Amino acid sequence: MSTLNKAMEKPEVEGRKLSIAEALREALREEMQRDERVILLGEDIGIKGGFGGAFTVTLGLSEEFGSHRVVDTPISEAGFTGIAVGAALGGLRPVADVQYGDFLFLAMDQLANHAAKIRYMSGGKLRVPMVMRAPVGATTRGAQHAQSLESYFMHVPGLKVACPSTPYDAKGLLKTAIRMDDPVVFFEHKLLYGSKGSRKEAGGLDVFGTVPVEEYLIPFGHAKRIREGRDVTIVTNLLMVHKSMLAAKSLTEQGIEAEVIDVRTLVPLDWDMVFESVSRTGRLVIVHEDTLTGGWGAEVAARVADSCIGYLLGPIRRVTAPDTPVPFAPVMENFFVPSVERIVQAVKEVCQ
Amino acid sequence: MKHIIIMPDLGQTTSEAKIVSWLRKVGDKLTMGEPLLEVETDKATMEVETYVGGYLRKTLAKPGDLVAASSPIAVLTDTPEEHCEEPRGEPAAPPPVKVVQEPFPGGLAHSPGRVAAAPAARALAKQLGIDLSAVSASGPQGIISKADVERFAAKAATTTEPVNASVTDRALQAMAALTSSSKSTIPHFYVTVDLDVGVSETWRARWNQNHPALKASVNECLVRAAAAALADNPRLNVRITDGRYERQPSANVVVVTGTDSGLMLIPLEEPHSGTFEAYLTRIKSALTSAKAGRAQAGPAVAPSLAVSNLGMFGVKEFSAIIPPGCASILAAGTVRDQVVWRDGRPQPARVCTVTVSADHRIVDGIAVAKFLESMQFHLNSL
Amino acid sequence: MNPSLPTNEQRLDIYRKMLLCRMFEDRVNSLFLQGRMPGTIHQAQGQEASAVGVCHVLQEGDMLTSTHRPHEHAVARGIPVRFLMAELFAKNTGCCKGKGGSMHIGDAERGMLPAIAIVGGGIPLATGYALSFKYLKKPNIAACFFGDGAVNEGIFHETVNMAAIWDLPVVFLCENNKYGASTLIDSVMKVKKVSTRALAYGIPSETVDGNDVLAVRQATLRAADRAREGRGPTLLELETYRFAGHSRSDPGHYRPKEEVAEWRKRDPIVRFETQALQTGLLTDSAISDCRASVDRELDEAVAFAESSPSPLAEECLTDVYVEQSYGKA
Repeated sequence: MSTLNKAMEKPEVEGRKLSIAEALREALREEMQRDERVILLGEDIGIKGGFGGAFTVTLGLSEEFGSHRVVDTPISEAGFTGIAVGAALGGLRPVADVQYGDFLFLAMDQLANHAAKIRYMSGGKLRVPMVMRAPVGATTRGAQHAQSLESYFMHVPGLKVACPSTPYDAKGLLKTAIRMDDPVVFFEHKLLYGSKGSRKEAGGLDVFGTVPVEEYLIPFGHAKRIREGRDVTIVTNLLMVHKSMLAAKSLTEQGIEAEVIDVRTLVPLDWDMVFESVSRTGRLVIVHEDTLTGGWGAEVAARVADSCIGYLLGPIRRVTAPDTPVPFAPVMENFFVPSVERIVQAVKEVCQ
Repeated sequence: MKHIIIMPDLGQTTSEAKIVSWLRKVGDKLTMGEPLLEVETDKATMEVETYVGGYLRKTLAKPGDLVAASSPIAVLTDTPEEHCEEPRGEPAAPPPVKVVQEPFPGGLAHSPGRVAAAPAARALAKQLGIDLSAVSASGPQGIISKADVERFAAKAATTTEPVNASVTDRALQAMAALTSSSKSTIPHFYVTVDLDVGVSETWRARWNQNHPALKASVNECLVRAAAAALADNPRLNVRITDGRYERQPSANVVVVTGTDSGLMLIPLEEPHSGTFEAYLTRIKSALTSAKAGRAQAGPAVAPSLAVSNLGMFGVKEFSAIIPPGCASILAAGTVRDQVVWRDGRPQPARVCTVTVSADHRIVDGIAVAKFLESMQFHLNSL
Repeated sequence: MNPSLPTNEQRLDIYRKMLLCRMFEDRVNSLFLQGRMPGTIHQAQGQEASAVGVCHVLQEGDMLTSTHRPHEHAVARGIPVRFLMAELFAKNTGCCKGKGGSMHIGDAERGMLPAIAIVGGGIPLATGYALSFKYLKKPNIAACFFGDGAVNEGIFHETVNMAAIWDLPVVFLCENNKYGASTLIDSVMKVKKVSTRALAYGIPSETVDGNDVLAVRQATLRAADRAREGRGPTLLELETYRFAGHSRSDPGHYRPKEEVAEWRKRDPIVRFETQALQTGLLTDSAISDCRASVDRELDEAVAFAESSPSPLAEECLTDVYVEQSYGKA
């Protein structure tokens, strides 16, 4: 795991080293201090003596802001999501969360039929400034606690979608999401939280990154080129960002220089950066943990095949999970989740 | 405890409001719901209440200021004396980013300095060794198509400018350039005849029996006979160079042969001269050199007739493309046994079908027919 | 704060509102049959007492949520009928600029959220409004209309439970017209009354004659006061009946003719008129004057709607996001 750390260690600015969980917590705290209308809704997020949500992100916030602002709900994902929509309409800025992204399906009606559409159906008179946070990714817990779900929500007009892979991005994007007047689905990867103590995730990466003390915000629709390269463009998100960087290191030794782009947000997506990169390298590999068919990589492939067809030197390849539920046994999960070797292999094939 | 009052979102079309006046002053004690200030929106002038009670400690904007919704405008505290530092300065709130997206995106994303070509066009250009930056795109999006590349190749072949060789596979490049330019510029016509090789085959069998170390192939006999016929038919012995016809003083032939890297053209000087043995040695040496990739020694030879043979594959007959510069090419099929009608009755014969493709700018059918008659004669006179 | 009993002036206002609701629905029905209106409609003739009795109690700033059958709720809440008519005619002067249609009419600024067509979908939204009112210490309440079918949606269970544990200022109003589309309520619920379900959440409930507009008003006032005083939600079951089919395309053959006839005898407007004639609140000429006035109001509304411009096709692309738009830069 330490090799992955080194791959990502790239201090951008002066600051302190925080984990993603800590960076998210700081974002929530700062926004709650700044704006009294920001409240949190979720299960086990504020319980005194509890664990601050499934991945410790809300630890300490109820002590600081009170249980009327850090609201512990019953196990009612549909209910509290719908209440968050109503509260947003009524003037609050709720940040709700589900303990596992898989549970978003319980709240699909509220997110897709209500949060996403009320502005439109009202003729633009109303807005739903809410955020729904959801942890995604396979962690040896079985098929219903493991999915990657970005593409479901990318597909709903009216929702914005974010997926940060570093502490710096997590804090900046969450602050923007909270201040944004559109509903946001905010994906976090379970293995990237860096949570400590009893909630430490087995197999998690120690992804610590530099986070400035000064306030900063990251706008949506700006991807990040974390590695420059001339031979192939890799477009990726969340945990796969880190694996792609390891793959890029391995590829350098074989004479292939890969450019790695972390999309950071899927709606809106930074198409300009993707097109510019592919028109330069002529080759595209998309890497995501979501399953193959209809994953967000398909959307990127389709648009690049249209707008960059004149520059392509080879086929567009996606490195993804297969079209299966997430298996339990570690040996199968390691087959399911794209590995560094699979990324390297795909890049080499595309570069032939 | 400190409370921040923010400007609510009141406008109909904008999220800004202008402060008209403060209804309470710093130091006042407020109760929840009391009007605190008057603002003017694009719709109306209205009062804004405080949604929390407390002591008004600071006002953060003055009358006349235009304030965006959710910006802090006042600070209240529960007790009159407690510390209240400045709230985080005007926060780096991104203005509502008016990102504009195409509803139905598509079409080439132009990248300055890069050549846009469809994948099939790129592949063809690579095969032909064509530099894409020299090709112009006919389509509206500026993407070079496969047809654009083909047009460029044909044009390049008919001009004296050499095809830009920047690829590794030179043989392929050569074949492509030669055949495409030949077929598009030379008016081909074809004459086919079944040569009777009964006599020559018997002769060749005897030769091979007597010279086991220097055996003759069918094609080697055909080349010898063709050269002799060419010498007898000067009207075929013409080359075209730069649009000029040139009668050739000697009857030189070029043999089309297959190697590992593709087809090669092996020129031979006057194959019909000298002894058969000397000729055989010469042609075999030339072919071996060519297959090994070694260049031939000796002066350059300018052939006017090419010979191509697919008989070893059992092909019955075929017609070939004239290599540019030659006036004709003779394509030979396999030697086969056939029943022919002769002297009023069916008789067995050994035949070989040959087709001559000729350049109708130089020769006509009668000249070719006569050439073939000569060839039959010379085959029988080996 | 309304006085306990309505004044005569208020009663006349209640009566005119019920007439406006009924005649609006009848007029829309007629326009639809004439082919002058696109889409489909779900009508509420017969449920006027429920709509008007509830809305009469609501104050400015209170928020009403409604269902796929929202026309009478919108009229009763006070949204000018010309904006409702324009929305049904798909014009850009409609309350939702032509983007909502029949099942989404409403105007949050006038106290009614654009209606929600997902059965039960408005229940958490109303509750969320209530959460914001309580949090922001506003004196407002949320009022949530839904039908007998919605109480079997999981969202009803989850939301009412949360409203109860947090004592949110919301009034849950079940218009029990005995049918969820074509399905009789007795076949999908074991308990006899919807109000019984309140026991499961520990909140008070009442079953009310939904066709007695004053009874509805009183019950709603009790529940609204409870909510405003911070004592939490109430479940009101308003027993009523719709005369029309589920939607325009439904002739309603699943309902016995005798049942329909029986409920017609309890027509809330006729009941009110009968009583008002007896007490002298109304006279025959006053009734016909009132109808004529409503007719004129509806004529103006239709004229407004028909003369309003249609939205441009490209407006399809607007109002999806606050911070992003589709179209040419």
